[in-house]
Amino acid sequence: MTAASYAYYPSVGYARSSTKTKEWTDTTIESSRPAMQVESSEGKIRIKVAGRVPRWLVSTFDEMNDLLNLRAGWDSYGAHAVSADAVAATIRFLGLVMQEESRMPFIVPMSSGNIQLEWHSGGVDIEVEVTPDGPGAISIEQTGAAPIASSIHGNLSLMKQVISNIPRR
Amino acid sequence: MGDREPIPAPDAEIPDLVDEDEVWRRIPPWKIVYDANLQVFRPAKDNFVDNPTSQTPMSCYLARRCNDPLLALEGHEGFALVAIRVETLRGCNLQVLNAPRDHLPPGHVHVVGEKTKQVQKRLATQCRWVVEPSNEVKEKIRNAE
Repeated sequence: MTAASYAYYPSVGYARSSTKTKEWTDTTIESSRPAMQVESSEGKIRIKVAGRVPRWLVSTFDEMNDLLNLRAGWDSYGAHAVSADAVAATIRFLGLVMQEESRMPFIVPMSSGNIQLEWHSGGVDIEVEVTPDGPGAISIEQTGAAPIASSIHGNLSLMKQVISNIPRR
Repeated sequence: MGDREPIPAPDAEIPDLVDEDEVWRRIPPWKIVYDANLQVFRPAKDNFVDNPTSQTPMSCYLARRCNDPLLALEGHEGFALVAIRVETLRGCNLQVLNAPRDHLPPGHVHVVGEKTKQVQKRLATQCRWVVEPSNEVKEKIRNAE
């Protein structure tokens, strides 16, 4: 069984784990954005936040754990177990694009073991497939218009802008 | 030597298959979204893929042969069930082939062909619920946003 946990560090500076770390990413790209580090090791995920824990992280925490507990074949059609590395990459990606008031995406486990993030609101459909290596194919479509983007490359700012414009419920 | 599973007969065409026929596909509760643009709960696109483990084509049940939705859902508590018209599948260049299996309910078929993202989107938005997700699942989905 795998599990995710997060540790809240109210002051700046991170306590680095002594265990082997797959990847560390500082997602601080704005002064107002909490610095966050996501560690994925041996099927476990540890998230360290400097500053206030973002609301989106709190609300996705149980959901991520539920997904990590899905065993192979969970969809009754031969789905792979959800990859802990893909979950970690999803958290890192959300750390980059989510604002405090952003609308939460649907977090959909994929048959491949990857994670799909989906927003379907405000006349916009956004889908991002996150693999253990990070976000891959993305799709941003507006109702009645041609697709806006099909790749994450060069579109991160666009994604943040589009997501921030989706009204919250 | 241990027992071996019998080799299934090769998939075969269904001569009397018509556009009005429907196939059923189970939908796990984790793969349902609320589409506020369409104002409906619907399956996520990734429900419509081939089996990633066995590499066999997408499994479904021909509705008129399976006949009972609960038979298709047997042993899968909390799952929902959607119907897709054969006309829709044919419009996506997908073929429905008979694939009977002794251990499965009657009417088991394979939907053969490439499930591109566009095809998946069409199936996800043009299917209809036969057995809807429970209110508990719907509430959880709405609260997740």
